[in-house]
Amino acid sequence: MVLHPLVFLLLGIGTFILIYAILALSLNLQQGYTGLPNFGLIGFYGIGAYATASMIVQGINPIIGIILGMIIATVFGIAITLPAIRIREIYFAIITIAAVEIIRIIIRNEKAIGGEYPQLGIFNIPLLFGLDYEMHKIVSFLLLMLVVICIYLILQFIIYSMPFGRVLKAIREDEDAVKALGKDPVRYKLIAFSIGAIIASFAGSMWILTQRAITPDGIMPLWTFMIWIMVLLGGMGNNKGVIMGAIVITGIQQIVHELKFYIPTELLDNNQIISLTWTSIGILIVVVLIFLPQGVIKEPKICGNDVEKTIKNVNRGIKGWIRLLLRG
Amino acid sequence: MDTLITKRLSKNFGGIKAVDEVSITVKKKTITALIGPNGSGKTTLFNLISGFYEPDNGKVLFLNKDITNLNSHQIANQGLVRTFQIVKIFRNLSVLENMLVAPKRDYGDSFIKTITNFKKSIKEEKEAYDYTNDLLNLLELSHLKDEYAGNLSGGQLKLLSLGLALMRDPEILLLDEPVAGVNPTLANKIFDILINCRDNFNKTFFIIEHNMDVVLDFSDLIYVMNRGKIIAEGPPKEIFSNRGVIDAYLGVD
Repeated sequence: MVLHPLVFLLLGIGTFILIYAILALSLNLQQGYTGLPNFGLIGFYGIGAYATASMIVQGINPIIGIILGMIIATVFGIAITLPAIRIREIYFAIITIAAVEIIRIIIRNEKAIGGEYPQLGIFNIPLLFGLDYEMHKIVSFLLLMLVVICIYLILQFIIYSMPFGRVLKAIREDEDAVKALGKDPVRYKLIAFSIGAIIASFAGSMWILTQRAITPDGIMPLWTFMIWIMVLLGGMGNNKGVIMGAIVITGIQQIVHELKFYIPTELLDNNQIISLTWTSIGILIVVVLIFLPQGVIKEPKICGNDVEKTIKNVNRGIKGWIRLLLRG
Repeated sequence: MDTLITKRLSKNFGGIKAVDEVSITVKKKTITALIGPNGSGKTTLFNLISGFYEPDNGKVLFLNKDITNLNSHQIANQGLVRTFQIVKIFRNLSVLENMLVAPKRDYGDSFIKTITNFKKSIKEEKEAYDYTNDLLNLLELSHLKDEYAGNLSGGQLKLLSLGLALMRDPEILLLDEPVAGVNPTLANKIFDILINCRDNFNKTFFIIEHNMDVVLDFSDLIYVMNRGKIIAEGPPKEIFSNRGVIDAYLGVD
């Protein structure tokens, strides 16, 4: 089978977008809903990616790698947040950024984790299910689509239909008030952070399975900021919004990246084109923050109708459940 | 019966004795008021009782149980709920959602239990929702149900924070200036609600308040604090003729 080059290109951009969408959804749960500014998100992604990659390289089933990544990410997440979770937001952000830099530096220098040449990363991961290259691209895209939809629906369910999600938003608004109402914010924050860490680690695993290589530079703090920009642009506290943010930002990046084949080098060389990407994203985020401080799509307000619908739909059997899951 | 007792409760901030060996008793089914000049340690005492500060010395007994070393959320779960002087609510949530955050839930409070017993958790949600509607009617906030809490006026915010506390169906409610900055009609209405709760639902209230008219009209017992110490206690009439109280708080005329 020979795919049209444009389809091939779009599939490639699509997989990038979907992986970033997973990461943006994860950050949205932590920062957008719970108010935990995780500036180390990419580290959790790195844990998932490297755990999966090293399992595959050693010939072990990648599913074990995926699960291992999730477990390590959760344990690591709890280990750094437990001492940090009681302190104010900005300090929490600093601790997360420092902690994942430690991970990156270890990975960069440790052969046991980072492969034979840790500076270069792990590559030569086999194609999915032994498919050929083109089929691999198509299957990757569809698989990621499925993953993003599932994660989106799970997160929407937590926020809309579970009292748990409501308390997360309340913690973001005022932690003392939550304490005075008999809920332990630390517990809620730990669970929310862990779910976010698991999702981010899963994004890393999916990256390995679909893109088949990881380098230590792929987990630079820069990428965390990219995801922050997606969340800020799309709208904090809105899962649809952050997916849109991922589409816009990754779209701009990839399209400008493609432009380099069409722009003569005398006019703009490669480095200038990459700088152009960053400049355009920078301008975009400044414009958004000035004119739409809450992002393009605002956080939805949950009213009496929504609660009544939840209560009604539960007693309507499977039809009601589907309605509950597909809401929002 | 005594609902709340503090025994020689003390708290120092640096060299300042914010609360100095305070022993008080709040009896069940009463509205007990705590008055005193600004900076006399009233709010600090509330923070000590509700677990937001750790006392340096002394004990807090609630329903004959020692709650001195419990966390604030554990204390709230025992049935001692407080409100804050500067209203603390969830501004970017609707009024309804604010109310639904509050109740104690057997299933909904736990992530795992909600998933494994989703139907039961929704049954809880329905009960909470019905209760919320009743309470919002009582507080005359039902027309603002779907409004962002941050858009409410000052008086409405006071009502909402009282509503949040009542959602927990507490044994005793510690209210920090529930009618500060509220017009007299609304202030009377708030206290009517408190009296209704006291008489019909056996609730107990411990209130910090500067508005002497309502304190005089509605409280059963008054404690007066000055410089971290309790300087007088008694029924309203006695307190307002007490020389020490007049000097410290009401002013000499």
